[in-house]
Amino acid sequence: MPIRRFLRATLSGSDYRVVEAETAAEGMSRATNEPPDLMVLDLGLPDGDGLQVIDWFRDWSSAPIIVLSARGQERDKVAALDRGADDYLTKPFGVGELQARIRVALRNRARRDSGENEPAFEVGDLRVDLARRRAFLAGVHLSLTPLEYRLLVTLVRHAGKVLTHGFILREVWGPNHSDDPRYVRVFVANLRRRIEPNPARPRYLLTEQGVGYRLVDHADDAS
Amino acid sequence: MLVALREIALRYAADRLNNQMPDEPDARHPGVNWPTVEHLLVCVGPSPTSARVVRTASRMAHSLRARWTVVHVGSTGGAADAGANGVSHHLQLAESLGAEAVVLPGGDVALEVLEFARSHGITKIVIGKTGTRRWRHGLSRSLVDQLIADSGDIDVYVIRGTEDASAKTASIEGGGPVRLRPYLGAGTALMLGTGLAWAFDMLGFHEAELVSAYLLAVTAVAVRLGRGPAVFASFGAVLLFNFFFTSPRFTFEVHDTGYLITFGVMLVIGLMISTLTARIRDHAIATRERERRTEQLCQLSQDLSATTGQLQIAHVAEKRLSGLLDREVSILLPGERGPLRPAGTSSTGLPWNQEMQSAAAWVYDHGRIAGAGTETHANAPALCLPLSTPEGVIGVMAVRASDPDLLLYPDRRRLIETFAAQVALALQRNRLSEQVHRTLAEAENERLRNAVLSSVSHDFRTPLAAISGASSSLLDAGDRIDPGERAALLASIYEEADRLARLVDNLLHMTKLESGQLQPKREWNVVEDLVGSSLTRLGRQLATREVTATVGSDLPLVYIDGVMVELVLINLLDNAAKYSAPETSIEVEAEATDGWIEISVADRGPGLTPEEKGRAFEKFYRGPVRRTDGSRGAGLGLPICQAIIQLHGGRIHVEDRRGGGARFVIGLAIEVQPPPIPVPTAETTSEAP
Repeated sequence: MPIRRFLRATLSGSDYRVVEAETAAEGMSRATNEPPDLMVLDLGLPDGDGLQVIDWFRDWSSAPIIVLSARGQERDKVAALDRGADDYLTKPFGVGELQARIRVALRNRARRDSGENEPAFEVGDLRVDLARRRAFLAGVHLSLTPLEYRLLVTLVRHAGKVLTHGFILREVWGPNHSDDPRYVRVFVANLRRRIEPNPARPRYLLTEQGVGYRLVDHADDAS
Repeated sequence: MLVALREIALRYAADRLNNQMPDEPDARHPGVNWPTVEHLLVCVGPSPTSARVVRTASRMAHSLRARWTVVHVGSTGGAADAGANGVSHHLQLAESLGAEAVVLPGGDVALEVLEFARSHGITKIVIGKTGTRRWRHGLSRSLVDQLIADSGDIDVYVIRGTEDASAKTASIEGGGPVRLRPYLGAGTALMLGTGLAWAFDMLGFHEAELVSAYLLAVTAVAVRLGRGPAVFASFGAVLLFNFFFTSPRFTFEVHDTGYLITFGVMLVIGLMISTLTARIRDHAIATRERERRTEQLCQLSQDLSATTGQLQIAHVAEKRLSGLLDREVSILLPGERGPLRPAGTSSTGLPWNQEMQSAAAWVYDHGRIAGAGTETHANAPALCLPLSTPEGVIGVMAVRASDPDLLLYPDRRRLIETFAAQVALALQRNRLSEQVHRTLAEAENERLRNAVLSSVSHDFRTPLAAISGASSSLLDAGDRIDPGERAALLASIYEEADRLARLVDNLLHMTKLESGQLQPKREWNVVEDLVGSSLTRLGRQLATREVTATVGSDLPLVYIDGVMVELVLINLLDNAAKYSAPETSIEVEAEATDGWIEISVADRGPGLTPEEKGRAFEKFYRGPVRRTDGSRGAGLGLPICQAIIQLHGGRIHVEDRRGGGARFVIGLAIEVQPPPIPVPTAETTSEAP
């Protein structure tokens, strides 16, 4: 309740129209009546599992879902992301963080809806020329292995969003490949050594411990 | 009525007198007791008549209100003792009728019985009447005769039997199928004796020396092979002496009648040597047996006293006793309010079937022996003994009884009972020491709980007071407060709330770690990744700080729970930031050294005093306030770090840093690395295939 109040206050103040619901059932009926452009969903609902709401919503809508969950529930976060949630926030969180995530989610959504990827991606000194399949750091061409490049492209396509180990494995190695998260960890570490000036203090390719990886999208992304 | 009263008065007087009598025999009359209360001694043997003797004695004892003891003289339950079954039945019967059962080592029955009687203040001896084996009378007096002749002031009652019902001398090898080997040995000895005698004869010795050569052989046989072969050797010696050395030589004929006397004397001496030596031998064997048992008991008690933990004790007892008794032994202990269960970790091979369970349960409830060979739950495959302590029965010891009666042979049973007592004692000791530990742990918990309460109540109240104060003044006078002040109030609300959230997080973490709810979900992790993610998470706090992170290249993977170890690094980095001046730098380093990966977080703060270093990882310990912002932690951060690292089998410590400051180092063991991931080697440009 207090969380909804402050969400309503800040989001209404940022020119979003907010529809609130207290329970899963109420949320589903309200979402049916007024299909939202984005859903902020608390996983701890009084009348049911938030994961079921994600399943239900994903059956008919591709609008982004941002999940709120407590610390230490990495498994829930991964489950939510794997079922189609776009992002998550760990309670307690700041308003600035939430607004940044909402912006990223809506932007990604718009990009996907427009049907075409931008020919190039740029954040800080990192530039990925998707059309010409090349990556540059501070203008210097990076020589990447095909796998590293595929990994980078996957991250770029979902820039700003957390990608779980499972998702990356499926996207980069194919659906029937190993399910050993070690593959992802080792290759992300390799890629990071190419694209980060100091891989132990990453600026672009961030690790969300226990969940997955996020490629920073634009400078305004809170991290 | 008057008669009865008189009887009671007399008995009472006798009792008192008996109590006042010195225990030692009177110095003026050595060997003489002055008994005033009746004490019956009943001799039993394997014959069925003994049962009658026992019953009669029981009636006598009852009417005399006397103590009574049942004695059997003979071997102590060797497997070959055919009579043992009957004897053990009689002893059991007597015990069930209230007697004390004793088995004395074999030897001269009358002598043993009388010795025992004198030393135990026996007033009456009850014995079954010796039967009709007249031939024995020719050689020696019957047992009854001997007893009557030597009993002195002890009364001897003879109960009529149908056949030889006296306690009979049972030699160790007696009964059962005759074993041939000792007799072959005796034959060999006789041949050697003959050889020796031959040599003596050649040297022109007199016949007496030749006889002594044979007697030497007989003695050797008696010492080495027991009574039967010795008797055989005695007769053989006479015959051989007759055959080889008396004229006419090499015949059994005797011309000189004087030789008959020599033969007679030779035979008698031979037989006497046999009997005496055999008795010494039996005694030696019995003594050895006793020594062995004492040693076994000693060993068992040593083993048990060196063991802690109920299950471990049960396990050791099972293993040891199975070895000592040469049969399966199982210790049964009650579970948590549950039924009895085999407690040892070894599968002893004793079936845990319905019969076994009910027998064990009965023993556990009644505190008495039962199971195979007894009258209660006789169909169980094992003999069950209660493990009794002053606080009641705490378990049951089951001994496989393939030969049930043997187990109930008093000697053996007493040994097993002693073993059971030892086990019970060990379990009891363990239980008590666990109780002490529990009490201590509870006291420690109590102390900790108080520390938590005082710390938590303070740590919660301070931010809560700040929040409610700031927010209420904003509510009451929001318009009248100037914007700068308002922003400061709001900022303090935000900061205090943040602090509360962290405190709650820490408390939850600590609780979960301590209760074992938090188990590491280990995976192969990249060290660089861990350092990077923790620095990212602390982005805001470290934004203004200079942080250098140096992670060695080509570090092996670590097998850890990434979320947990990240929390450790975050706590250490947070501490470093809080306890050092903003303009100083923080260094994070990771390197592999000798089987460990060490990650260190170093600051340029004031460092830790030796006392702080010793107690830094103690829960709720807080050193003097030295955070740069003046706040105090809850004393949970480092204990959480330690708990997590310990869960991973790692190590953590703090050291002084050269040039000032503190350096916290965590060590994670380098596990055997997983097979390498196949890396596409083609180093291409970013052209996709």
